[in-house]
Amino acid sequence: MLNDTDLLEELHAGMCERAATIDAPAGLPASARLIARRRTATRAATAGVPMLAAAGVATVLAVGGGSGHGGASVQAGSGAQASAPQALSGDAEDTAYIVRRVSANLDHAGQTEVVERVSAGGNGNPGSDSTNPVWSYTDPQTGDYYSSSQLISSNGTDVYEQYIVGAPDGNQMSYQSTNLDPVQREYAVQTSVGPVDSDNPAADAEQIKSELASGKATQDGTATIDGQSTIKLTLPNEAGYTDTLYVNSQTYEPVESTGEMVINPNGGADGTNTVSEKWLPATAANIVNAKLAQLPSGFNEVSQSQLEKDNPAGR
Amino acid sequence: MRLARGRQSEFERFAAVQAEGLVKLAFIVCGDRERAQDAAQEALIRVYQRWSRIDDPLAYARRTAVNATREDWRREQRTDRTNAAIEALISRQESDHPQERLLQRDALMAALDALPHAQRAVIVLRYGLQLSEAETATTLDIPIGTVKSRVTRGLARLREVLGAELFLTTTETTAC
Repeated sequence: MLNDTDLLEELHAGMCERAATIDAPAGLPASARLIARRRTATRAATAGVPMLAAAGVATVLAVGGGSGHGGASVQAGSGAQASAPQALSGDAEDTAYIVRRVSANLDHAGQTEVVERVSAGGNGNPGSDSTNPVWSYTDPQTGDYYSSSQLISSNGTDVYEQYIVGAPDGNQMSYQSTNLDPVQREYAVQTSVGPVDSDNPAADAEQIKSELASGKATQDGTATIDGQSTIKLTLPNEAGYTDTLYVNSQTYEPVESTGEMVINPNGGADGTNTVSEKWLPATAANIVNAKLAQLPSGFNEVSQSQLEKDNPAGR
Repeated sequence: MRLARGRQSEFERFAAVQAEGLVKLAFIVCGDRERAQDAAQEALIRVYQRWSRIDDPLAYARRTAVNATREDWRREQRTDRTNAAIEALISRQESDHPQERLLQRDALMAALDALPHAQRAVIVLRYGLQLSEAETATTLDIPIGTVKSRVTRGLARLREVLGAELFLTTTETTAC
């Protein structure tokens, strides 16, 4: 008769065999994040909980500058042409001074800009990579909030889109979330009243200020980014990776911050994940990226449950 | 200790690392691919929404994934799978098939699938993920005593469902 040891060994082996036959679908983390944001908008599920749309591990900031839309780079430091580290004028107090100036700029940064955030990467498994660009903007005059998101598979297919519009409604916001499945050519609309979506630039600024306030920022030379002369600040992270923040060497406005994280949960190939974020001027050309101008022709409206049934990314 | 880092970036790192394991955990528990993927996604969604409030995201995610597999669980299907696996095992034994060990494992997994969800979850965490009793208790947010009792009842049920005579035959023939 099978003894307890054999039984447990067989159980373990059976479980391992079963586990080996399934992988996480591509883009699962990104789709989870999209859905979480939609639920926030539609169900007020996180009322009272601040949602820090925080600076990513590879944060790119372009306050008061930037080229506008379509240029998001998910490559860490892609826009920077770093020079060899060089001594700055002044003494060691410069870093503290720079940090203070940058922090002061962050107090007002991001409240009126368009935010472009792109996360990309996977877990190292073939086909696990996905890209998730997000644009958001809050109209400083009306308080209206706009956000657009896409989920793009490893083969470049746009598999899911989400557009959220929020309008102030007392102390809350009235939200409408339009969710599209470009593959099935379906869409669903959800409306609700919920908390103010804090997925906004100001939250990012606070997060970066927090990092700067840690006292661990160091100077690491200079770089030219999009024609701007910048000072390179290195921000060590407790998670074991490092962000690099570039600030304008004259105005101390944040220009760019880069970094990446490499994971290996499967013991196979490394998965490289990057997040880029730009704060862009609120020009019409930039704002339009956060909005759904009109529904594409030929799309059929379905219930959200039907959309989720047809599109795993929308679950 | 929570890392003083951006919510989304920390979540993304967590999700990228843990998504695979959550899907596998859910799949072991429920045996249904689609439901397992849904359960893992649901776990990540809820972790994201509560990121700033939970002390142990992994334990919370595992608990949520396990719980999410409970929804829509249909006993009829479990019973059907169990019966089919055991019948197949008996049939193969009668034909002196050389794969008894694997068939025994299939039957064992079918029997696992037939366990009540609470017992199955504990056994998967204990003997699949090989968590300690304390870790299992933390993950499922239940007392250690409950973990012990569910393990005892679950293993007893596995033996009962499979039957001693089946084990006797297959074990002897696969010994090496």
